Amino acid sequence: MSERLDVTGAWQRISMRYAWVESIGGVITWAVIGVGATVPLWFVFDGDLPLWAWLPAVGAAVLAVVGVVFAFLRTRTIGWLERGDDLLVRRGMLFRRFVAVPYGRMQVVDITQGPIERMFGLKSLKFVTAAATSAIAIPGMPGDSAEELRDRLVAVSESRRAGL
Amino acid sequence: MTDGHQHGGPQQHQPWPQQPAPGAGAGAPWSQQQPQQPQPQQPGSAPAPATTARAKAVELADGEWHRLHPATPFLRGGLSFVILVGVLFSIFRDRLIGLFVPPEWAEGAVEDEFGDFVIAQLLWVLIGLLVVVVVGVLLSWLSWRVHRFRITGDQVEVQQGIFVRKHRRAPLNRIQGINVQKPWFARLFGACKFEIQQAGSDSNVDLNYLHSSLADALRTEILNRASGRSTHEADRMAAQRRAGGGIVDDLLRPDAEISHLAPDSLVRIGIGRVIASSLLDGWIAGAIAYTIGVLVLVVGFQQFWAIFALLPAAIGFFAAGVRALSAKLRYSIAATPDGIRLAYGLASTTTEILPPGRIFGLQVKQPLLWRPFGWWQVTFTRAGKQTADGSGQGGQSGQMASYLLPVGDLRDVRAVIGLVLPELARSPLVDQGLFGRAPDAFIVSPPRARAFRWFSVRRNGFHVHEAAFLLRTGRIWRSLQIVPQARVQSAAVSQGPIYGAARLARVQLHVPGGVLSPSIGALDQRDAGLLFDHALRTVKAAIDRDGSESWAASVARHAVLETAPAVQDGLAAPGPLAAPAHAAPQQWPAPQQHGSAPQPWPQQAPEPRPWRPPAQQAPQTPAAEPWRRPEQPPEQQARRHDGGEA
Repeated sequence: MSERLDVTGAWQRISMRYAWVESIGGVITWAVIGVGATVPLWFVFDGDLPLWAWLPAVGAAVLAVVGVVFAFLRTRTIGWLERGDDLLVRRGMLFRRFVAVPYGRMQVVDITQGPIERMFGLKSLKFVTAAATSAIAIPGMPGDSAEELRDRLVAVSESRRAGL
Repeated sequence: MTDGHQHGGPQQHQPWPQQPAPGAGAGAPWSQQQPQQPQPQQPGSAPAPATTARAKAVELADGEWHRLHPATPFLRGGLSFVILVGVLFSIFRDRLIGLFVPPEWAEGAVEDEFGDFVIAQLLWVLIGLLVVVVVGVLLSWLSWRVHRFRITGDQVEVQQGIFVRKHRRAPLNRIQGINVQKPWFARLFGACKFEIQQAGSDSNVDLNYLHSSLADALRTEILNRASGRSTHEADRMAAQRRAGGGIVDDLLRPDAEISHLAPDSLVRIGIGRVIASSLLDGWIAGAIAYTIGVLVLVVGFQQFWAIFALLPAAIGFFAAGVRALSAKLRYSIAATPDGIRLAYGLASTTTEILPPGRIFGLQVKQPLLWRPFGWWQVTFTRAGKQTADGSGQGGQSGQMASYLLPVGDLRDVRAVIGLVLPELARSPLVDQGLFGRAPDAFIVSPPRARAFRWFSVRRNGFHVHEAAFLLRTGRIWRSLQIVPQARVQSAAVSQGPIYGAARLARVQLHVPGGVLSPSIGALDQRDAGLLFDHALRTVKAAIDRDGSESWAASVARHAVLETAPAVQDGLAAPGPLAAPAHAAPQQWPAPQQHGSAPQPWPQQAPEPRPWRPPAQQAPQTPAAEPWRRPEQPPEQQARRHDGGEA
């Protein structure tokens, strides 16, 4: 099998700590689902669970582990590349997607930080253009570099803004 | 209240370069100055000459606060009146039906206690209704009193609301279009809806309702300012318009006052074609199929309940169909100095002016049943309020809002495309995009993509023109999407695991609005990567030379006016085709010179043979463009070999 779609360049990777953010989020979600599925069964069978009744919990555990593995794999693939006239964001290994936004087209650059991200000192950068379908984000950036990049992008996009 | 809340995403980052007139300044916007209320003009009275209308429009745009048409409360209240009648009808529906249904059918009817009560207490009910009506009238009169607008040098401001005050400002240079709607009801009062469209989902500035006689002049005045045109130039154009003709009675010819402003419509759609095309595609076809289904059920299976259960829906279908049909009637499109003017509608009319560069993407498509007739439909997307299902604007303009051409033949399509993108007016690319197949100017999917595009593998492709991206898809449902380069917001290239195994990819061009999402799949990943890279380079260049914000001041887009008559002439008898734009510097890298390059498709047809609708005057065959490939690195050529064999 030949090589797949790629864009070469000096890609900047996001912090690998973001994989932990994703993992913790995924594990919590699957734990809630697993417990939520098991507890009613526990009551139905009055504490004496047959073997199959553990299936949802086991399934959730397996999916959580898979999710953790994929979170690490996926985090390795997220990156951004500042080129002369546009910002390129890549994401995904199996489902690859490269999005490029010309600097002059950025309308808003947002920084967000969720509770788990805050624990790891990470921030997410979101870009808004006039097109709703653009929806681009760079998650898991170390706090300082996120603000640096934001300021740089805002400055460049201000100077190049040209209508819609 | 002083700084209200401003709407719209982009513009709130813009500083306001000029403050409004100091007398009416933001410090005391509610000071008790009496706005100059224009005299209500009765529809029957003598029409005002164009000069007066323009003078009044200039007066309206003088930076002072003005109120809307005096009939506004009534026209707005009309809706609640309809709702009231609807509620009453729904309460008494059973009784009304009971009047017409033989008594033996009504045996099982449920007792309607509420209805009995209402009839017993008729006097009180009437008094209650009267109070509701009086309060409603009072409130709407109050809201009319506080609903004011002013147009200053560079923005439009609207204040409204009794309990919740709303203050909206919109910069003129971000106008996406100005829409004048005349519902038939409002036309009786000589009023119309005036809508200044801004980018964003809920950022339009509505001046509902204005005097019809003033609306057009006011629109011209606003567009004059937005375009950055000098006063002298504006006066000259006004004089030209005056020479063209005066204002005719609004009730008789609802779009008369704008018709002299621009050359006649580039496109004429006969009433027969509108009806036939609607019969073959759209609501009417659905309504007929539905009605036939109901009739079969009733007559064939003796299921009489179906009449009551299903017929209302059929009526709704027909009503929607007739509304869509009547909106398409009297459709016209023309070039004006301020962009493209669209007008349509029979009883309720809409005229809309889209300044240059406000069209973010076009799609030319052909419903399957239109194919024998060679009809096409052109839809477009814009940044303002516009949704595919028509819920955005409601009524006829909701359905029409995305049509640039509801139905037309090839000549019409070319005229419309030429209006939006003069560079493409005479290009053979349009023909190739509509009818063409593989060996032509488009770069198409490789043969191994047949699994993903069974019939259209040789059609599914793209071309990068210096002004626009052309994406063509579909052999059965043909479609050509044209995205002006200066309007692309961002681009994406993506590849899932299955595409990855076949080394294919999809490219998406992001444009505002929800009507179109231009994308092309099943491309060779190299081609996709090239398109993606190239798209961004050309978009950047296009942004740099784009001058659509104050279009009169920039030369780039002024071409719309100059080329429009040329388009007409050119279509009647196309001269030698303009040199294709491939030589332009921002084009694809120089095409391969040596003919030995491996071609994914056999070259046995040197001239693309565009499919032509039968029984139709064929335009001159466009000169065939050589099948070109962008320059490829050697390893890619090697890859193409196995690609061709796969």
